[in-house]
Amino acid sequence: MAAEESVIRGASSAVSPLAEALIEADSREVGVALRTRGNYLPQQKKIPLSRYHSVEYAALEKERLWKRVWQFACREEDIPSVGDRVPYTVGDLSFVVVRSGPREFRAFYNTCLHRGTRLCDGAGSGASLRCPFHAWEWHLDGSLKNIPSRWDFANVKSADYALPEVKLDTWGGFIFINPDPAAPPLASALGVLPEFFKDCPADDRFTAFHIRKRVRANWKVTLEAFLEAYHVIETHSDSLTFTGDASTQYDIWEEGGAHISRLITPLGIPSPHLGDGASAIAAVDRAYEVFAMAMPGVPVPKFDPKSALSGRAQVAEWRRQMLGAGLARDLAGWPDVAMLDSIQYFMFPNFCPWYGEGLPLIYQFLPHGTDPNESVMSVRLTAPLPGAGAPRPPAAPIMELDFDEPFSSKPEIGLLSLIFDQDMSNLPRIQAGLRGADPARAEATLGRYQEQRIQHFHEVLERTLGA
Amino acid sequence: MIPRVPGSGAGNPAGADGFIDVLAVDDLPPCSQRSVARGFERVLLCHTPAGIHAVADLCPHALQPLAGSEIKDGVIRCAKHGASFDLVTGKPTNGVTLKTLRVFPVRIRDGRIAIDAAAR
Repeated sequence: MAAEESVIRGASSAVSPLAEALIEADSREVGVALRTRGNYLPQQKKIPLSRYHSVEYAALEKERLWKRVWQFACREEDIPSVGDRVPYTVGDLSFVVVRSGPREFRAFYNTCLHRGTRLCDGAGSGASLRCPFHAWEWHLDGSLKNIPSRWDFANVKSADYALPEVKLDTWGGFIFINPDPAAPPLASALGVLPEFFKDCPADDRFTAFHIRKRVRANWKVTLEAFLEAYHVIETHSDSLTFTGDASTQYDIWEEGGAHISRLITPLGIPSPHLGDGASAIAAVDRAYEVFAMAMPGVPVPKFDPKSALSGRAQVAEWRRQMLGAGLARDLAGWPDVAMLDSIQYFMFPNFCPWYGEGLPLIYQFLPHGTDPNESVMSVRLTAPLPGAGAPRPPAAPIMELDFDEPFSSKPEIGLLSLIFDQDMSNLPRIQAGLRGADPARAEATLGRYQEQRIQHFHEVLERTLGA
Repeated sequence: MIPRVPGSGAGNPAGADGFIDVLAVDDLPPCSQRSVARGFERVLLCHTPAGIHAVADLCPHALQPLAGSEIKDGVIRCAKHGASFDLVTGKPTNGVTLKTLRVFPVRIRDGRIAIDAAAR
């Protein structure tokens, strides 16, 4: 970062303060994580569009990125019992993640050592891993269990035929893998995340909805559509009345092998784009309506001009009470910002855990097969575990959405489905447009502040790939 | 800016014939539009020389609100990216999108506008 460069860190209006000012004005004490600002600003550089559609670039990503980085594979709750397994597939690489003991997880290449059949196509369970072609079979720890007609494989030494295993570690109920045997520990890639999630532990939550959507766009196009709030003005124009898009705060933490970034988009204030005269009261009323959509039948409050609390604090207090009662948990100490705002962290290369109750999501972005024009986006909506000794609810099963299936075909997620469909409607257009760009102008120009997380992502990607 | 009627029509029980009361005719003068909430969705009511039309207040091109868009000769053209639709059939009238705009049957009775929101 050039020391002398002064960057304008967002826009505000009379009724739309910057996220930082809202954190200062919170009705609760805000923890150190949300008050800590980033330590890094990437170099400003244009992004060649070829890297979004080049087959060669995708092949390089497979070799130097996906085979070498720590990457989120699944949640512990996805495989709750010993023997449960799920595939983790990234491009044409695939691994099977198994609960091999009550508190033990392992990941193996998802390929039979006999003739190469994929071993696990979807979530399943059993006492062994068994190939559907000729029944070659492995114990959950990866050691060879059985080969039918064993006499015919006299040259096969059982010890040499354990399933090839890859590194696996966990944090916050998230299971990460790294195929690189020489990889440093997971902690080196998590950076500030464990410390920043201490007061909102991810292992204290469960997956309430889980959608996996196929998208006709490169995985980086899909990822980058979710790293900034700059697109709200056009893509989600119906959210401007209650979303502080331009007042969003962006931060990056760069330390050794950890590449983390964050955005905080305030809710319950009008967009600064709407000007000083926009209605702060309408923003609060709309925030009430939006949050109430997740609770059908619940009366929708309105801004109370007699209350001593700010509009945002009123909505936050209502959310604390509603959620707290629903879950039998005490949320009294949670700050307004954690009850209302969209707080999204990003861990290079493709994992976004969200913080707090404003918008509790988990994103994962993956290449789909070997076509660089396709990707898969996995979206989870999480909820805190119920209190009062209630058992852990089971993780929601995956709902698959094909290329042309809209999120609105899964009405369970309410308004979110419209927001996702608005984003999805852009993605194939972006992919088509960038492939057809004037070769002399085939590069992306990024905003200095609002799109810095994309800039940072590409900086790290270039370093990782050496290209 | 098109006046919006928050909550209007939301949760109104449908009659036996499926029609839901949404607005008084007097609140929709000729050549005006109004966006009314119906649960999570919004319906755009348009009073044109040909009569009163009800369409989804959501352009199927980029899923943006249609309210405030220009209406001419029974065709609404989205103010954002120019997709246009026949207000009677919902069919696109240019090539911005090939998707159809959702239209709702309208019934006028006793000075009230009702729509059949369940109709597809």
